[in-house]
Amino acid sequence: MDPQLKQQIDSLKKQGHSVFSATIGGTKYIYRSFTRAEYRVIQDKINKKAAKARADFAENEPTLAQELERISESSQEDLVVQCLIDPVVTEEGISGIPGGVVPTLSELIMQAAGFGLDVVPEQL
Amino acid sequence: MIYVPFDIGIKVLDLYDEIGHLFLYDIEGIQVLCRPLLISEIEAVIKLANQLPDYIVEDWICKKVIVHSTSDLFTKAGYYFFISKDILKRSSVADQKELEKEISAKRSIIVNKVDSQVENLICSAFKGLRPVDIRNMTQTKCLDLLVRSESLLNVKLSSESEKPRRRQGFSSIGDPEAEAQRILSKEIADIPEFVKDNAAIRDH
Repeated sequence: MDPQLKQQIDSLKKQGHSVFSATIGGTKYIYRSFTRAEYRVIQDKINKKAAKARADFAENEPTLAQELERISESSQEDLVVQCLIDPVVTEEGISGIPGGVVPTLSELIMQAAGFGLDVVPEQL
Repeated sequence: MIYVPFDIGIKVLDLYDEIGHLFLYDIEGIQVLCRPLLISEIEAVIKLANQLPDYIVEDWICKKVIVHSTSDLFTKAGYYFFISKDILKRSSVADQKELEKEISAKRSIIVNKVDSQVENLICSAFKGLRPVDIRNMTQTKCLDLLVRSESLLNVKLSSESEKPRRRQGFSSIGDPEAEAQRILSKEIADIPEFVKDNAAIRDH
């Protein structure tokens, strides 16, 4: 592993992130979890876009549904850009990643961040 | 046993006394102690959930219910998501059938408990008192009130069956409950002095 990449991973772990790797379609991807603070920013951005779409397409339900779907896909891309450590991708460069990889990576990143937990608490 | 700092331990005991039960989660090695949502908090969530983004509601719930955690829960976004959903589920009864089941379970626990019978008896005799007021008394005062309540209501808490039974030999006074009502009227009975001491708690 590239020493610079290893250093970056160690630094992320010290910050409390979990770092994982997954091979999808023969390519190895290294990604990290994301914090609640980052999640708030992502969600706020989605909510702003969704509110604008609802205002703009209030009279046109099919277009509104399409627009909300596009916002959802766009948020997946944002998450991958933010949390993919290797290879590094930019907002412009994400279109170079094979189709289907972005939703898969997005799902893996969500799992890394603790979404989908199944814990039964002990009642005191 | 998890490590609990002194101030958190005190808080846990206060909450246990006030709320009755707590939940301990082990989330990826982090111990998280939570209280259930209160009825008013559940109502707020139900009323506002459709008008507010989910992540805000999740954060609000977690801010309310998390009593203590052994590590920072902000490092992973999904922790608050999970805790808020799970604690909401565990704080409320989902449907009518489940509610009936819950009441039935509570009934078998509470009705057969001597402590509950003592509280019920005292509350029946002294209408101004609630079970929580009795739990705020010393046991000596509580037993004193219990004996007075037995006398006023003509019933006796039986240790054999753990169920209150009407005391024998009082049938001549007619309906004991009506008699108790008469005895407890303002003209005849007054609240004992030491119960008045608890007025601040009761009125709080």
